[in-house]
Amino acid sequence: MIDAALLRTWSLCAGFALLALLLTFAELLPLNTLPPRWMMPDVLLCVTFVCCIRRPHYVPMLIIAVVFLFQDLLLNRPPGLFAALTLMASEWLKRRSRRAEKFPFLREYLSVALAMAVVLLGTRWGLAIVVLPMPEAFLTLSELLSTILFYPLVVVFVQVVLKLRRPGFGDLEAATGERT
Amino acid sequence: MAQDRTGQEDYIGTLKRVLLGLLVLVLLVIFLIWRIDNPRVERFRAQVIDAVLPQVDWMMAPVTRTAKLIRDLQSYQSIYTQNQELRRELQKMKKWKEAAGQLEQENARLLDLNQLQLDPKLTRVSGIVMADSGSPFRQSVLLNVGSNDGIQDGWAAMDGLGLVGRISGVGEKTSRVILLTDTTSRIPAVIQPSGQRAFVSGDNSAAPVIDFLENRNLARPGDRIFTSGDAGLLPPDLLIGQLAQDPKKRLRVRLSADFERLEFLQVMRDQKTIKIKDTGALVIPKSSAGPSEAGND
Repeated sequence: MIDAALLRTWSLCAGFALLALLLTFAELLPLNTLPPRWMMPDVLLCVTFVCCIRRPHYVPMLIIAVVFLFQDLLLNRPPGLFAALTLMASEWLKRRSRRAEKFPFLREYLSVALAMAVVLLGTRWGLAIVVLPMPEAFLTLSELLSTILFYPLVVVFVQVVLKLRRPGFGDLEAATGERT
Repeated sequence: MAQDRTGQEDYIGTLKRVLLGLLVLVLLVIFLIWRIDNPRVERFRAQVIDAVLPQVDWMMAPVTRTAKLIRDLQSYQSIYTQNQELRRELQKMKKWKEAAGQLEQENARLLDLNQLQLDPKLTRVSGIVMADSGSPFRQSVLLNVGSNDGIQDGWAAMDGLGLVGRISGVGEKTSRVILLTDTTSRIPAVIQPSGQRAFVSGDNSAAPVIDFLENRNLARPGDRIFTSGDAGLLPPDLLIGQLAQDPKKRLRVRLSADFERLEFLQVMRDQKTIKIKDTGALVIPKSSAGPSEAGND
């Protein structure tokens, strides 16, 4: 019984890692080699945060760290900085989601928006702290805005198509009780 | 029982917090190492990409091809007007072809008179664009040729017509080309016909900026820009583009290479590139070191 639950958790972890890889490779496709005017949303960040709030067990921090470090390396970003900030933000979201008995969407959306702002602007400030040239402010802000606007779409997809709801307080207790 | 339970949860919570701290610390240390010893970490990055990307090329290539096919189909809608334009352009080109033929003959005669030989070392390696940088802040592409094909850091990459960028980061089977539009790209250039030196520096827009121009009055929009080969950075006389002026009166380069569709690139072999092996040291003027020591005494 425990084995089956463990297997399920692990397979869903692997599923998340696979999805992250696919999204990263999709970004690497050489479709547009001109510099962008307006930035596309960071889909992986949205997906990660959705998982952190709805199924925190399936995105353990080790996987988040490895996945985002890998993405940093592949997407030619400063390695480690974005990953560290995302890791901290996602743990914060997980804890908020675990502690709250009810988590209405508006509150979830606000916390996620705050987490995204911390990650994207924090990356910028991190570069500034070690005296590296920062990307244009407009690009960062447009990425932040489009990512925040994209988040509800991911939530709708997850809830309507995958039928994944946030577990209630009791469910979560039961799940953790079963796990330990 | 309840106490036992909360005690266990506390224990797990603390453990998690320690683990989180450790992970964040490791990631930040990686970031600092990258900042301090950049060439080594970038070499590691090139190796990671080299190990990963050729494995998934079978997956990415069809997707790219399909997307490009759809885009091409869209452009068929305007095929009639394009055809008309092309006819008109062809007419003009015929005139130029005539002129070019005459010039070529003249050039051959003059070369023969001077008994000049073109540089035999300037041969090229062709590569296919596998991936772009993936990040909107960086402008680079990955080629499917690497150190196995003899590619080295610093070589110039051209499309059929103009300069596209330079190699920076070589794996065994892949290599990265930093495009002219990237914010870190600085190319020493010469503007013809006035012969002035300048820098073509990318700023993450489609048209790089001209920096450090000696005399602005001598440069006119429409002038042609070539690499100057200063500091042995790139081979000289590779076409970059044409000079243009933006609405804010800044001089920019309209690039000759077609950056919208980078599919095949030619990497120019160049024997005397400078290799970067470690981080640079501080550049201190020698004369100022002496007096300050003397002052201490």
